Amino acid sequence: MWSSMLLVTSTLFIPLEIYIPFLTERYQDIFSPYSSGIRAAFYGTIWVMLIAMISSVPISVGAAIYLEEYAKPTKTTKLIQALVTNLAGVPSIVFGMFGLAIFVKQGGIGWGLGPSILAAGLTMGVMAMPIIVLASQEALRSVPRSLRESAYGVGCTQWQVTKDHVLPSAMPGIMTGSILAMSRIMGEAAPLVVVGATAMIVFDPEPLAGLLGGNVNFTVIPIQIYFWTSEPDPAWHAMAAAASISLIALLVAMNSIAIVLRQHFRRRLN
Amino acid sequence: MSEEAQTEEIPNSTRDLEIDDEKELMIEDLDLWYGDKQALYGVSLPIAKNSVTALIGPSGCGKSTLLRMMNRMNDLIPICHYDGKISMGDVEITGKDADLVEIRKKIGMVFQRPNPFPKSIYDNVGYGVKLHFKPTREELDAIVEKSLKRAALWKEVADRQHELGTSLSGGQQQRLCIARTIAIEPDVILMDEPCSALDPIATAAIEELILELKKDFTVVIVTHSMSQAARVSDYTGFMYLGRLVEFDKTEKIFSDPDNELTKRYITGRFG
Repeated sequence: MWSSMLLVTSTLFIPLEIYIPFLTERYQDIFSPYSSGIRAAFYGTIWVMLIAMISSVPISVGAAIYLEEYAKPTKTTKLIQALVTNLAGVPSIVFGMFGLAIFVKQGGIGWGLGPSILAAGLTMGVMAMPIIVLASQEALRSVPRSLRESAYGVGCTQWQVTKDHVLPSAMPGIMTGSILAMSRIMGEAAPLVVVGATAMIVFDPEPLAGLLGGNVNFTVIPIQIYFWTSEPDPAWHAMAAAASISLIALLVAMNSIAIVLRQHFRRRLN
Repeated sequence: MSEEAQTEEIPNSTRDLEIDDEKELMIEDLDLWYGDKQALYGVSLPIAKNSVTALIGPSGCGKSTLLRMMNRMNDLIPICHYDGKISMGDVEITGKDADLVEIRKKIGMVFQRPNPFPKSIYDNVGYGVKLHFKPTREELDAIVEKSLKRAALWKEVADRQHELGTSLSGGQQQRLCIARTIAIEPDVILMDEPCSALDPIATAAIEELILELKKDFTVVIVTHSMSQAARVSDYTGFMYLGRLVEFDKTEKIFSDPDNELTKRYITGRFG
C-alpha cells in the first residue's frame, strides 16, 4: 500500500518535458519521418472498429440466440452451424475479397461504398461475426438448465426466459467474446489491403465518406506499420516499431476492458 | 431368470383408480418415451384437491418424469414424446394447443436443487407476479411479503429483501423458491424431491411448510424418503420401472399394501 503510493507520487518528481507528437501528429511527407505521427491511422482504426462493432455484434448475438435457443436441430440448422464454425477459420484475405466484391465495388451485388472506412468497417464486421456467434453460443450454452427451468416454472414464455434470464447470465461471456473479436480484427491488415486502405493520409479520415461523398481515403495502424517497414529510410522503421507499440497498447487496453466488464457482471450475478 | 418370473416382477400399471376427494388433476393412460426408450407405461393417476400426493419408488422409475409431465416441463427435452391425457378440470394439459404459460401459472414447480434467480430476494418472488398480473408497487410489496410469510421465510429475510436470493442458505433458498411459486397463486404445486439437497433441520422446516400449504394448494411431491412420504402425504403412489404399481391412501400403502412389490419396497427389502 505505502510502497505503491510512494511509487505513484515519485513519478510526479520526474522531469516530464518529453512531448509525444507521435500519437497526435499527422503524417507529414516521405522526407520527414521524425515529425510524422499516426493520428490518421489511429482515427482510422477507431472508426473501422466502431463500424465493425455496430454492424456485427447485434446480428451475431441474435444469430447465436436463434441457433442456441430457438432453432430445432434439423439438417439445415446443423449445416448453418458447420458453416459458421468453418467461417471462423477462413483466412482474413478471403473476407477482404468478399468485402471488395460486396461493399467496395459498384454494380451487380456491390453496394459501391468505394475504398472507404464504411466498407472497411463492414468487411471487418463480417469477419468478426463468426467469432462472436461462436463465443456467444458458448456463453448461452453454459447458462445452467436449472435457471431456464425455474424461469419456465413461473410461467415465462420462451422469449421472456431468453430476455430476462438466459441473456443476462450469458452477458459476461458474450461481451468478452465480442471485445476479443474486435481486438483480433484490430490487428488485421490483409483484408484492408484488398478493400483499399492507403498509406499516405494527411487528413483525418471521414467515416461516412463512402455514403455521403467526400474524401474516402483512410488507413489503419497495421497498414501504416506495413507501409513504413517497406520504406528504405531506417528512420521509418523506428516509426513502424513505435506504431507497433501503440497498436499493442491499444490491444492491451481493449482486453483489459473485457476483463473488467466480465468481473463486473460476474460480481453482479453472484 | 425365467421369462415368467420377469413378467411377474414387472406388473402393469394399476387402473380405474377412484378417490373419495374432489379431483384436481387426472392423468389417464400416459405413455412417455425419451427417444426410443419408454419411460412411462400407461400411467393413470388422480390427484386429490387440497391434499398432498406423494410419488415414491426407486431411482429411474419415472416418478420425476411423471411429475414434470403435469406442467409440461418435459417439453424442454427435445427427444421426449408422449401419448395419453392429463386434464385439470376442463383444461387438457397434454392438448396440442394447450397454453403452456397458463398451465405453468396454475401448476407451479419447486425443483430438486434450490434454483433462485440471480436477483434480489424481492425480485425472486416478485418476478412471476409482475409477469402475470402487472401489479402496482404497493400491491407487489404486499404480495411479496405475504408470499414470504406463507413460505415461513419472512422473519429471516424481512430486513434484507434486496440482497441476492443466491446468498441465502440452501434451506432458505428452497423456501424462497416455494415463495416464488406461491406468489403467483397456482392451484397445484409440484415438488421434485425438494429436500434431497437439504440437511435434516431444513428438511423438517420444508415438511412443516408442506402441511401448511395443503390448506390452500394441491401438492404433488416426489420423494426418495419413504418416511417423508409417510409424514406429509395423504395419498401415495408407488412407481416401479415406469409403471404405477399401487396407489392408495398413505395409511393403506404403509400399513397394508395390496401389492407384494410395494410391501417389499416400503419395508426396505429392495430399491
